[in-house]
Amino acid sequence: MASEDLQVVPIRHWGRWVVGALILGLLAALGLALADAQILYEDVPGFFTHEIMISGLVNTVVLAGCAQAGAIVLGVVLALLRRSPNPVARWFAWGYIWLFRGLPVLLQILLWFNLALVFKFISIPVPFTDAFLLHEPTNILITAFVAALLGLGLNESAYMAEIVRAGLNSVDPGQIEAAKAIGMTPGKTFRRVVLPQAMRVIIPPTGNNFINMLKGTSMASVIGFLELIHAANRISSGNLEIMETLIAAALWYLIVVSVANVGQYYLERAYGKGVR
Amino acid sequence: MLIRRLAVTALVLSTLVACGNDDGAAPAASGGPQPSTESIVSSVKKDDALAAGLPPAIASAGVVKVGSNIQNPPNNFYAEDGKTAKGSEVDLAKAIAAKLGLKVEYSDMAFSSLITSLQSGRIDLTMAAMNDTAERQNAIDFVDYFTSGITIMVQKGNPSSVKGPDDLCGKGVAVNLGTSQEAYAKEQSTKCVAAGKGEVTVTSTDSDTQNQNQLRTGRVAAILNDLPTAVYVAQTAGKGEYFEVVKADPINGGPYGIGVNKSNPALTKSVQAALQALVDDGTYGKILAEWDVAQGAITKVTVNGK
Amino acid sequence: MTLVRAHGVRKSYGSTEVLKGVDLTVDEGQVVCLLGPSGAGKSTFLRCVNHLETIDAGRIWVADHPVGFVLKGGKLHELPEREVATQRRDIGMVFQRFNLFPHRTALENVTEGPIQVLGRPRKEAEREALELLTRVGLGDRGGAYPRELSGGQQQRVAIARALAMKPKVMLFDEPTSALDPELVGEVLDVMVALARDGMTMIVVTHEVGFAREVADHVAFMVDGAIVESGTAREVLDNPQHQRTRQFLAKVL
Repeated sequence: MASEDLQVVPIRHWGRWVVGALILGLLAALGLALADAQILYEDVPGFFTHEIMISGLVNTVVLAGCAQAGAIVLGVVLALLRRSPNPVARWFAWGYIWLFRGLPVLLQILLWFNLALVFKFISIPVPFTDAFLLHEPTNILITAFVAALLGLGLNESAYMAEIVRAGLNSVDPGQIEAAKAIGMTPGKTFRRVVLPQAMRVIIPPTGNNFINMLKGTSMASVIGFLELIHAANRISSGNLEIMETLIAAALWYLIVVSVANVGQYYLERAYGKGVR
Repeated sequence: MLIRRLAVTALVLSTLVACGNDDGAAPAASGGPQPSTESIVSSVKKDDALAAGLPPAIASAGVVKVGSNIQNPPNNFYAEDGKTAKGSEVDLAKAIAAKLGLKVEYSDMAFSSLITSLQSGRIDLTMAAMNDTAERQNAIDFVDYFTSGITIMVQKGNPSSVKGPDDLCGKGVAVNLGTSQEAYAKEQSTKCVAAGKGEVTVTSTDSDTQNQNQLRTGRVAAILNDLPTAVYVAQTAGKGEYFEVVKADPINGGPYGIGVNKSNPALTKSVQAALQALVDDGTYGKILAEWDVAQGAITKVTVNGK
Repeated sequence: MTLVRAHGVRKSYGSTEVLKGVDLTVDEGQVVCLLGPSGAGKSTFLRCVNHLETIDAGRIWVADHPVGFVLKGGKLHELPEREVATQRRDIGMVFQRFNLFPHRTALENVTEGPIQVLGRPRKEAEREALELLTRVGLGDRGGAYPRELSGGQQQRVAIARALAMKPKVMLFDEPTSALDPELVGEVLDVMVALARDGMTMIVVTHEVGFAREVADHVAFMVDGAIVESGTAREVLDNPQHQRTRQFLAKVL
């Protein structure tokens, strides 16, 4: 062995420099193109904070939140029905999922909105009497919000059913046996042992779906529900600054989705206790 | 490496926001002509004799539910606050309602949802620059209140050299879904093909704003719209710099109609009578003149064109 | 007094019969070991004792209750799961794969039963749980999650969890089979202490040394039936049945 150390010449990664320069060049060109575009950027902040845009924002978040929450509850019920020993319950759940997953969401929203064509009144009679628990004209009950909530929520519930089912299946059957062995009833076993562990598998795809839901609320603009896109359309209906109002709406979408991402991160952490 | 890229992108984006448009002195868009018709509309008095003919449900509610697509200046659109509906048709609707002693409650929805909402009873009337056509009369009744025609709108400077409907052969055209302009565009396409020229590519959307985007970016060569809308948009979009109207006769001139559910003849008669009263006493003419669409005025209010 | 009585227990999976008429009696304070080759049906039988598996024929009584049934009007009525759960409070079980609740700490695993099933107040349950964990040698690891514990430690927590319900009888389903060899000893020590304290135990195991040390009664199962049984000395030192001899020759 020679007593002096030989000098080491590291590899020069020229390719990386070239690619980096190319990307920066493209971004710069994009920036210049955007700057030269016929878009009145100075109007965007005004639209961003416009009262109607804020209403649209609030409505979007509320609609998405309510629809997703309802869908999760229904999804758990449907997942349990799918695993039920009762064959009628199983077939009902399968049929429900097939139908509500199979029809386009926009179609579902329109069907609910126009339900009065089929049922002029929605009534729940009290049996054996002439009285009613509920007897209202359909159009009064089914507002644009309700129609959107039903259309988005029921469709989502079919997807949630499959997500929850996968989550429940992912729990080691040994866990259920251990719970039984210490005398836990099926209900307690589900709530305290199975569901918390299933959440680890349920949360990531649910977070994904919620972000789709936030954007899916835009379909409700067709029935006149005041969500972000409709708000943008309203603001631009007089001044015809279509791109500018849409950019403002787009910024709000990005913000809301980012918040949802952060929320998902913390939720995953909370349910990841005790597991790597 | 990642940090570097993020920093430069941030720099690029912040630069373009700061630079914005080159003629930075331009103020925010004002939205074109903003006539004040409040005094005209508020001076309309209730006519008890006419109001007596209203269906009892509406009379007792004191409110008439009007459905519209409030994205369609100068007929129906929103003021700067995004809440108040304005337009020539909004004023007419309010005047008709006032004549009958009613208040107007607006429902904004996509144009293609209007007729179904009328049939389901969600709204009592539609007022949305809707052409009264024989096909639509199968579904609902119309009280005709205006005459309009199809007009072609192109990019400023008319780069595709469209002078009339025959110049649309082999080109793309944007229209609103379910409108008579859509039907006309498809008919024209058939004619083009029969004459040995290319077909007309018809793009139908639910939104005037989407259609205008497509014309601005050159995805389509023209928009077909009703006369008043085309004139208004050409005057106001981009402060009048984006579009122009092709100077030709309006095509397939036909009436706009207020839609009424066929099972509500009492309401149809009441609206017809109220509107005729407004025509006779000049209120109608004044409203149209304020909005610069007087060329579509009618003198006799008909139902279903009769 | 007799704590567990199994008579003519049969079970089939589809067309395969896995338990072919098993009889077993366990008195209070006794330790019974079930030995035998894989697939003999030992675990299956054990899981029938606390009704984790249902039997097709025969009866199993624990403390004079037919597990999974109730005797009414001279007939045995099947019980719904909720009520079987109540019966299981008296029967503790330790599994081969520990089955600790991974989303709970060791202490929470042990208190889960007393709090949720028996309705004990939290403070009291935690105090008792700490005592149990100390008893199995893990008094200082209460706040650890299962993944932070070794296999031997997890199994000891599992034993504490079962003991927290103050069961009348403890079932052990190959408790050391999934452990690294150097960890087997610590679990067996706990089980030996438990036996000396007078717990009634039914243990399915391959650990012949353990059987010899504490078993009052050893039963050897092959192909769904008990072919030989007796005291530990009798069965292990002087096997009569040919299959017993074969098995012990391989294992010892």
